[in-house]
Amino acid sequence: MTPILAVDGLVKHFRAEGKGVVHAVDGVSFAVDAGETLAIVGESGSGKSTVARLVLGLLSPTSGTIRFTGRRVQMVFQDPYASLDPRMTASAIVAEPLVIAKRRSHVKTRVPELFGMVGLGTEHMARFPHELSGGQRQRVGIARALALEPDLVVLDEPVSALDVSIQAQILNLLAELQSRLALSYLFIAHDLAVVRHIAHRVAVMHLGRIVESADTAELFAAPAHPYTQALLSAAPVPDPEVEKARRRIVLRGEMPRADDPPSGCRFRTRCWRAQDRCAGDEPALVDPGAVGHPVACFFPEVPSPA
Amino acid sequence: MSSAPLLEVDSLRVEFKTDAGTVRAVDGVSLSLAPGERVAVVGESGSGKTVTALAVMGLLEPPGNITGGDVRLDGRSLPPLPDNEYRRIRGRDIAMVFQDPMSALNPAIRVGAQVAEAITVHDPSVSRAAARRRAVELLERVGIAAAAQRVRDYPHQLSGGMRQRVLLAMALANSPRVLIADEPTTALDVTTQAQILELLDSSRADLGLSVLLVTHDLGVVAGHADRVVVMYAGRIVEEGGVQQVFASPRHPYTRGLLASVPTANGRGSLTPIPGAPPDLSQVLVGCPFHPRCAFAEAQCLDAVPPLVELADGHCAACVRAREI
Repeated sequence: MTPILAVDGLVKHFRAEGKGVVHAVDGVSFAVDAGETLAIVGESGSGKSTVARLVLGLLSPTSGTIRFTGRRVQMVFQDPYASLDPRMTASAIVAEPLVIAKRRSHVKTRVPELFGMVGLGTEHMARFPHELSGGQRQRVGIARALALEPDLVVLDEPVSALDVSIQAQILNLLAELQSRLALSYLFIAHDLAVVRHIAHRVAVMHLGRIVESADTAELFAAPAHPYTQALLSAAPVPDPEVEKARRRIVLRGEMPRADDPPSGCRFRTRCWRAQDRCAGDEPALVDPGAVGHPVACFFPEVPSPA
Repeated sequence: MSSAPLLEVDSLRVEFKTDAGTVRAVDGVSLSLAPGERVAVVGESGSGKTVTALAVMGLLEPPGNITGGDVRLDGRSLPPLPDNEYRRIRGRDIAMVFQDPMSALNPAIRVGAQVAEAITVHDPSVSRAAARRRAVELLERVGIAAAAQRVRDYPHQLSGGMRQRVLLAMALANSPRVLIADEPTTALDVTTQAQILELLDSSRADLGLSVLLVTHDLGVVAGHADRVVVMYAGRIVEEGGVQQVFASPRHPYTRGLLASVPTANGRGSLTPIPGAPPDLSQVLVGCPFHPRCAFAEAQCLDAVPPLVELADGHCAACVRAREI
């Protein structure tokens, strides 16, 4: 299958005043197939949101290519309150892309249809953002993103600002819209439980690089990169039995700075498996054979034969 | 726990008088904390969990106001205390760490001086030099490397995790007996969160602290609390041992919360709670959860169900708690 989005060798450096160069994204390649959800997961400073902005063309890359073969890409933001104009009604917000795209004649039929698609009644159309709940606001944000029938939607932490009971409503809505409209999602998130629920494939970013990528089930069952292992082991699970039994990997020290990353592997300063080679060479994102999916580590965890 | 409670919140009511009406943010909340115990208060935005914590600390600001009930430390009632006496208890007997360490620290003062101030404010007889030395010790104890150099840093020079460690050092400065941690790791990345939670647990064990952990994260509750109190719309809807509540939740809201969390089973539909929490400036009829509840029946509209004990220490405020 030809991917709808193919990103190759993407690099974005920012020149920070007096601080040298921040290597926000440093050689990232991935592809999103039609109808699939690729999640990019990482912590603050991993470069995941910069990747989203590059894909959307909101930033131009320092080098590398982004090939998009679909019709249209749209975005849903983290904070629905900050991304909706407080002086516009919900229906005006959803209609705006149609107006800008000179499809004003579609507004009358398309806007109520979009409200229905995201599970909002027509009584919400005349309301202002402050008159809506957080979940309703995110539904408006999604309706706006769908107005011009995109085939790729970039979602940057779309549920992290929401309470858990509302988060589940939005995740279900996103899954339903994906199957109904054959959408592809590039899903940026820090929450592994959310990612596990929504994504077909996951790429884990650490300090500007992808360190591991795999099908979701495989990544969660057999993480091979020490950073992925630490990330999975740190995420709290809402089950006291599991919490009591688990052996947690707690990383020591601080995340290195993106304007002064360590030589070689960027995780080595906090890695318990690091050896001399990790400081000298940079591990490439390749499948070392025994792992079964790409991992950027010289000493990955190899699953024991079952 | 058999020992007498250290901290008791008794039928607490807090109201906020606003232009839009009176918001009953906390509506008859009772909970207790025994020595050495870890109690988690869990709830979503607007459930009243943080307001409860602030009321215990005597940190409510107008228009927030305690309109009923009591907060007792060692049996002594705190809300009637004048400001200066409350201030002596705050930090010395009960300390608090907040969600956002950046806004809880003064950006213009070096972190060492802020920790030292937390010491001298309760004991003016401590010399400046002694307070500084003690600040370094405290920062070392919360895991700040090269603490002797770090004391000269300003908050913006530290990472989020380090700032939270500084706040914890300040909170522990006077060896309090109760630590109230309000979403202490919500603003942090997951690997940093694991570090801070480990530190909270080890500090509690080393110092014999009682911890009241306020959080929205059921995963954090599962791993870091002995008992859990579930709040909804300003009330306690369920409480009990963490094992009990997670294994057999008895209130439909608790069940809904647990079903909403994406878990190990991966893809597949989540079961969200329909609707949204009620507007607390309106007069609520009956059980505050009934409009969103799959188990609601006619009697749920009659009155607010009381919190009833179903098994040893496991209580739920639902008329159908025994059937579900």
